[in-house]
Amino acid sequence: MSGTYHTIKKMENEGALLVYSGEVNPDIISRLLQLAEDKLDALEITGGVRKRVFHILVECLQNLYHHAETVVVPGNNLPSRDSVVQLRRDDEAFYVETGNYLLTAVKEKLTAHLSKINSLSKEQVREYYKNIMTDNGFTAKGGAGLGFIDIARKSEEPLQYNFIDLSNDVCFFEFSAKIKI
Amino acid sequence: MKTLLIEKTRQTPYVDFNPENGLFKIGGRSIPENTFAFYESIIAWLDEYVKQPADTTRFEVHLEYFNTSSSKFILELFRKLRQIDQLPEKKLEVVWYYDKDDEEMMETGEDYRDLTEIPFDIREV
Repeated sequence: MSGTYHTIKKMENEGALLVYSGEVNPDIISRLLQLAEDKLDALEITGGVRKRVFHILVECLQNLYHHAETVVVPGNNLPSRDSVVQLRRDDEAFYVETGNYLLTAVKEKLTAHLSKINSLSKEQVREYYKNIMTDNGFTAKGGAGLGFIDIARKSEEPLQYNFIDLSNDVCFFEFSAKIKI
Repeated sequence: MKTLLIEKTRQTPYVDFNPENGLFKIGGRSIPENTFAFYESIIAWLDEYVKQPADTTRFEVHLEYFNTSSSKFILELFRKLRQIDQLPEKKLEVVWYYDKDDEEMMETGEDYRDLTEIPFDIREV
């Protein structure tokens, strides 16, 4: 027995509304968004907070879909593209939190991108978004290069992130966006 | 040209572009993972339309949510339509609707107005 009671209690204590672990694909995204909306309906969360939570969840899920790497995790034999995503709340805010495997090679670039976003004021984030939007083209992974900028804009709080090195080549990227109630 | 009609889904907006009377409407959500697949046919349709547009084209936008990759394509729709404004005796009107509580959507309308230099009417509903 692995102790599922412990798992559910831990989730309750952390205010988890939705937790998913596994591969993120378009079908899963659609289902998770529906589940999240049902939860927000049940909690009678409406207006701007609801829009911001939903919007950030969309961008986070699409980030996972486009950017999570298929890696052989040290200690496992089979390659995995599993990610984790959770929506939770406390008295103060909602949190959209994700985790996914990344190649260590992208860590430096991603850190620079996130730290730049965090250094900008609200108005500067808005200008930065406009600048990137008018750049023609999409990234190699099919993204617009706008996801984290938009998350920061909707969150209005510093983006929290952390990298856990698993080997020379592979790391785990943890990310959290806060939406104040 | 035939009217461009696309039904809305949970992830994509409704589109109703009538080339006869020039009334164009788009609204709902635009959050598909593959935005190119959705917008490419709309942009191709607009490429044809701007060659012989109605005297006045009125573009009414009432989006609830859109993802960041859609935002680039929405800019592209405006850029196509802007060509109409440069034709003699043709007129382009844009109305950007946002829901009462949705200040971000209002700001986004202002951003598109700045970027495209099209006169936007930004209205709360």
